[in-house]
Amino acid sequence: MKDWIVFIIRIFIGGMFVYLGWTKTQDPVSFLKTIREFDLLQAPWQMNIVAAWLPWFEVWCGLLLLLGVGIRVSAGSVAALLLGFTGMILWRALQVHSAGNIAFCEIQFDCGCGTGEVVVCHKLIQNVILSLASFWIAFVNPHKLALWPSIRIPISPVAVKQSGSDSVT
Amino acid sequence: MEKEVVTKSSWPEWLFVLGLGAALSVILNHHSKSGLDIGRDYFLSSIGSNNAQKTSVTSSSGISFEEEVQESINRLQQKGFQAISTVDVVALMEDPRLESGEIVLIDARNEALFQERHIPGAYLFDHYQMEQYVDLVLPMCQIAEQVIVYCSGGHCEDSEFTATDLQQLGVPQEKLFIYAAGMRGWNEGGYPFATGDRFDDFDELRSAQETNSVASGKP
Repeated sequence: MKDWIVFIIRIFIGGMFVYLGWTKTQDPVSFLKTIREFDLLQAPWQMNIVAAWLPWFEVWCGLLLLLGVGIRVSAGSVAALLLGFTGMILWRALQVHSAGNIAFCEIQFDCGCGTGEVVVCHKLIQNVILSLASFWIAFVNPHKLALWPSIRIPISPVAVKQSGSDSVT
Repeated sequence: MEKEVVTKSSWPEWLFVLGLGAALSVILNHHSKSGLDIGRDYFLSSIGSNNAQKTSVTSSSGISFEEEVQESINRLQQKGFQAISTVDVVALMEDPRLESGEIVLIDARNEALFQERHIPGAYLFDHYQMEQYVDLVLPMCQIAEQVIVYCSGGHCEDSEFTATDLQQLGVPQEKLFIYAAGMRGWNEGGYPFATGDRFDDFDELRSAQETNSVASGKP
């Protein structure tokens, strides 16, 4: 049962990242304008890199989760991205809150998430839940319907002596 | 008794996910029609527009559209641009110089918005994809008496960026006018608009004017 829950969450988060990332790749200028409004990055090349490359990386991570390839690192990357986005949204919301004297949970803006304008409180809660779910996927095993869940290569074998208590030789 | 334990390294997974992901992101952006040029300063920070308008914070923007337009006009005038009102742009629709090319109307929004709805007679010049439009639009702007640029209206800065592009490409600033109310102001006035590409705009405009004349009983 737990394996199927993990599978459903993996497909949901993967599908969401593919869809939202793809939306941004089709209109990177809108994403670039949103990044500028966050006022976190100053140099043009920094904003351009985030707007141009990040959406494609989101699509890539989403595809890997959907296919079940390199799940630990792809789910970990998704979690890290979500935490980064959460921090940025929180930072901007706090700026708006202090500047405009607005109740925190009444603040709405386009966070550049690909979903248009959002209520900040809802978005923050949603992102925290999705981050935790992504971390869980990254550290849980095994995975249902995954093509290549763990990309590892064997390294030099280690001989282990089995005589009552194991010890590495 | 000894047995061999094969340990596995995880670096290939890191390399595959992060390395290949980063490489693909660079390549796909480069080959995408809407991809960004990493080295370009899209917001023309050199013209001092780093006070980004926080247009999308709806809960904090308690000002009306008219106030937004007035703020934009003040900002444009500080930068030496001339602003033009909706009444003046409406008058242009009857002006033969628009069709003859002595007055050039430039839509500084993106292609999708232009196709959906634009002011009749306008040429598309998307500042963010300017290399696609400059060959067509720049020669017309150079010979025109007046160049009027608009974008979505209010706090939208794309008309200012486009006017700056044209100025940097050799169009004198005294010829450049910005219609600050933009497409929103035009729509709110209920004026005729065109859709799709520009080539049949004047047919649509004449048809709209004839319809209005019939409705108002004027010849």
